[in-house]
Amino acid sequence: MVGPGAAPLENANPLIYRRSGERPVTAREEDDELHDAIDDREIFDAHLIRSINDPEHPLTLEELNVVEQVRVKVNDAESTVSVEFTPTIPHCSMATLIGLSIKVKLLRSLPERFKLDVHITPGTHASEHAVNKQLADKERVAAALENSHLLEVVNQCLSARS
Amino acid sequence: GVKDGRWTVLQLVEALGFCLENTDPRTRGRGIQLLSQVLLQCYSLLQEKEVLHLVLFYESRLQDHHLVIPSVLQGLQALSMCEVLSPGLAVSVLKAIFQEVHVQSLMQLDRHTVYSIITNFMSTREEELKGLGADFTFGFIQVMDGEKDPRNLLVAFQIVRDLIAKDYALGPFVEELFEVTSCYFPVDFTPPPNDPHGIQREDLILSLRAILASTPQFAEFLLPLLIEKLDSELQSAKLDSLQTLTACCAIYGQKELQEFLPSLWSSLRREVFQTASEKIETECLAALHALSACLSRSVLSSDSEDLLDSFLSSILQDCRHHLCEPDMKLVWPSAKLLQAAAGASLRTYHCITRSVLPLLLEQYTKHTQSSQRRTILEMLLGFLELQQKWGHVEEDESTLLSLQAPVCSVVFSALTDPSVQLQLVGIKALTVLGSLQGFLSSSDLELVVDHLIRFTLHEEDSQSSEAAMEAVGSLAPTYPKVFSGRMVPRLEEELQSEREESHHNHGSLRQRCLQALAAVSTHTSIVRETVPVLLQHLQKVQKGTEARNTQDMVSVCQSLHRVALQCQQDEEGCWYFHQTVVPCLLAMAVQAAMPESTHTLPGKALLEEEVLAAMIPVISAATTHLRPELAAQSVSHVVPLFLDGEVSFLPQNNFPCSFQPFGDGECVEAQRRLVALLMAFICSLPRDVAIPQQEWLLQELLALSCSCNCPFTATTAAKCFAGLVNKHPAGQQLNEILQLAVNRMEPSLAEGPRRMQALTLLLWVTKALVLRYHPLSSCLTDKLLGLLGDTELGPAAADGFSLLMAESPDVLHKGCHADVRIMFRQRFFTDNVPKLVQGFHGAGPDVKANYLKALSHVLNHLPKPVLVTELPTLLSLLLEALSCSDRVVQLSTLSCLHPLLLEAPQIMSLHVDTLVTKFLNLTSSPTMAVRIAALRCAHALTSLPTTVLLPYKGRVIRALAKPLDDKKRLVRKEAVAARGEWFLLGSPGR
Repeated sequence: MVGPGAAPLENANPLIYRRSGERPVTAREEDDELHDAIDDREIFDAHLIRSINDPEHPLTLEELNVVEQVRVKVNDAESTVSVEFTPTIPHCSMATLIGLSIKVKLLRSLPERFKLDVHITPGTHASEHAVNKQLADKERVAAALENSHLLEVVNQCLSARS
Repeated sequence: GVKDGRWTVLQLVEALGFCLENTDPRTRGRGIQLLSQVLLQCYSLLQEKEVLHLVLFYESRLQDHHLVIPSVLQGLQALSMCEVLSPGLAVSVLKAIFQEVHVQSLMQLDRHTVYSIITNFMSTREEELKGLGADFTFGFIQVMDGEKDPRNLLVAFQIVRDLIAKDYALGPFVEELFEVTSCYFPVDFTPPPNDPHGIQREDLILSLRAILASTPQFAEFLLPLLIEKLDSELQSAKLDSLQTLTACCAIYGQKELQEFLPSLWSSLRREVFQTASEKIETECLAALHALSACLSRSVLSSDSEDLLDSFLSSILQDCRHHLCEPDMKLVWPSAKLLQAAAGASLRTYHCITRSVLPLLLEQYTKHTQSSQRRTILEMLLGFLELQQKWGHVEEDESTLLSLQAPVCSVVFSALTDPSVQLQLVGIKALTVLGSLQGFLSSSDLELVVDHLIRFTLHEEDSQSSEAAMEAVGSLAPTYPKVFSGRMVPRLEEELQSEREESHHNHGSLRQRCLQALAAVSTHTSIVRETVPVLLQHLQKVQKGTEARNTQDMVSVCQSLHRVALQCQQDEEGCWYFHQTVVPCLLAMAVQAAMPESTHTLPGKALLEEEVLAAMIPVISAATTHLRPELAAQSVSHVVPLFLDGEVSFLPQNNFPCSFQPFGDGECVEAQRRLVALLMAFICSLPRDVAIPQQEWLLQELLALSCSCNCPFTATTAAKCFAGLVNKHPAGQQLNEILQLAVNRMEPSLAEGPRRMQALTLLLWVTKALVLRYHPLSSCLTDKLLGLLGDTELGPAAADGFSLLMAESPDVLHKGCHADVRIMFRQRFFTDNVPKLVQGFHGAGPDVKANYLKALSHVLNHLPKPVLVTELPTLLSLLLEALSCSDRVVQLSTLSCLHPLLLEAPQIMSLHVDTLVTKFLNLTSSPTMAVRIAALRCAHALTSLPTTVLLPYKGRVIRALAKPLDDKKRLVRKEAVAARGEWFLLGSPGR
């Protein structure tokens, strides 16, 4: 069961959170000479994981508090990124799909040198361990993306909101 | 022959006799066709008798062979347009058609003819047709039943609309008439490509809606249909249903709606709670608003139940409890529904606020987190804003008035909350409360002003203090006394106090004071208090010795400018400001430019470019809106000041030395700079104000602009000259002045130390003339084009094209009454771009870039729609420009191509190979702005047809991996966006 409309919503009146505004552009960033390191906010923001759509609601992951900036850790020097996400309810059947969307989004928008780690915030999902394992398995992720139905749903989550 | 009266129709019929009676239907058809053609051309010449016979003839022919029918109908169409048709014939023709012809088996054109006959009769024989009673309606229903062609439908819909609007008898056929039209609802029609008839889906929708929503008689059939379509999955059907429902509410009453209210409400609620589409939400809210308005409008008979009450209570019941969960998704949809209903009428407003306002106030105290409070206050604000719609607060009924104290305390508590977001909503709420006449007591009002002062002066967060300034500006006109009595003195005191604070803090506090003084000046009586304070401060700063003088003076000027803009619309305030500020600024400037004071440091700051540049908009804004007679009075003082050194009108006119800015003396360098102030004043005057000694003034300016070594002064003089020339009436005098200017420019342009000054003058004069389509402008533009090939002046001339096309901030724009033709940019484009292209091809390699740069300036300022239609011809040149190494050219070329990619994808597809290569190359440009623009273009490429792009997908995605690791965050952001979009290309789910 994936995709909206297929069944009654699992969580019809979820808690929603305010979106953070656009990151203001600083003078430093407009200076051609200086080097801006990739930081947490950028991963959260410019790499747009915050504006990924939820598969079930017409809301973004940020509005549902599935992703938060404090749960994004990046180390530019060591080229590592770690993202924790929190499903809205502990039995959310969409958890794998959400994780997959985040992972794909990062694969597409981060330099290749980065090593990615996407996992569920500890203690927030019933089958946390299984989902994490799936997301960490490169081959399973690649295989999932071969499945055109799954790819379609992922792409829908990643498409800019109209 | 018939047309000029040589033949009568009777003779024609006799001559055709053989044909008309021929047994072969084809020959008969041709005969009748000929006759009908003739009638169509000369129906207006027929006699009553002739018409009678023709009608009888044609009616009888309706029973004829089907091949003949089209021509018969044409004949009848011609006859239906006759004015002399005897009474009774229209009815008989229609009866015959209804009886004999099966309209829907005819061709589209012939069906159209039938509709025209009916339309013609309806417009001329209304009474007769009404005599037919419901039979006419029934006949027509049969005629249109099953119609499929959109062209005919538009006509048929119009007939139905007239049937209803002109009150034809529908009799027992209401439901049939509804069926025969509502079967098209919701309209599902996509015009075929290259449709010559130009019928849009929207035309049909509106036309059908006009019928469905035209009579309450349809209500019992229509409302169930609307509910059904609203419950469907199709977005367009939902939208159409909602809009139709809204339209219906304009004419329906309680009676029609009663039965359907519960299901209408549940559908609307479901849509607003669940929809993802903002459009549907908006339409739902509009429909709910219309429903509530409709119910509140209905007059009640004494015994019937008030539907409005029960309707509103079901809304309240379903929405109210969601308001208590400010973190949940449904809080806003509920609030919006309630507000839509509350906004419908005063009655609905009272009914809903009676229940909701106390609840919100209670919730505000119950929830303590700032973000929750903010949501609650925002909802409260929405209801307060609705109250504004009803104007004054009525004593006896208003819930709001009875809640005055708790509302105020909630708003005040928001103002003292540490959360900026909550403060902002609180400030907005203050503005709304203040605008409700009589709501705030005078002690509350003082508290409001104190809060606002605190925010404007001491709040660290700039958002809050800006919002507070805005609130001050909008409340001040309502309560001028409180603000001028309480706020202005406070600000003045702060400005004067020389507190022992750290230097930086004090500076920014002063800035805030100056801004606040400007913000509060939205009422004439306040302006009279604030302007002297500002001027006094300017004088104080001028005498001071602090290092921050320049910045301070600029700030004062900015505040003065804002005040000037705020009092432009008010005649009295405008004149007061002009009279007070302009002489004062001039006097201070003249004083500063006196030779004695030039060796003492203070005062000199006033003459810095920055400060003069800040004074220009003040004087300009104080002048543009003057009444002509007042402006004339002022100009008669200012011009003599500059030409004759006539200082007597200045407030302090006791100068040690004469003021001669156009004189030759050594020490006049400083005085000459004040031409900037002259320009600000004289170029802003309305066009019909005569300028004394204009010719003399023009000559002085011309001389100054060519001879002065200081670039600031020379440029200002050139601008002032151009500003005057632009407004100068056409004629001999103007031509002489221009000739003089050309004569002075030419030799200095050719060689010598002042080539730059001459170029500046040329640019400004050209601009002045291009704007007003003066014939000499083409000659001057050609000179400029020639200079592009000059190695020394070429780059400056190329940049000059941007000056020609751009809006200049201080002179030669609409706001200062310059003569600006609206299409001048397009005209300049068509006149000069071919020359630029030609020049580019003929130019040497070292100056080619100048032509490209000039071209890109012209293109950049062209309105986008024009650009898109004109650019394809220049496309090859633009593609070449992408390889140009000048980054200005690269940037402007990319910004020209960007809209083209979005709006003319077909043309661009032809060049996809070049575009991809060049864009990808430019993503590694050393200039950040170029990299960003190139990535944006690479992103925009995705709007070309997917099939064209797919061969490049792999290559682009690989190439865009590199800018993902760009050293600049802004570049990476664009790269991420572009690459993500390329990944989605041709992939499922896009």
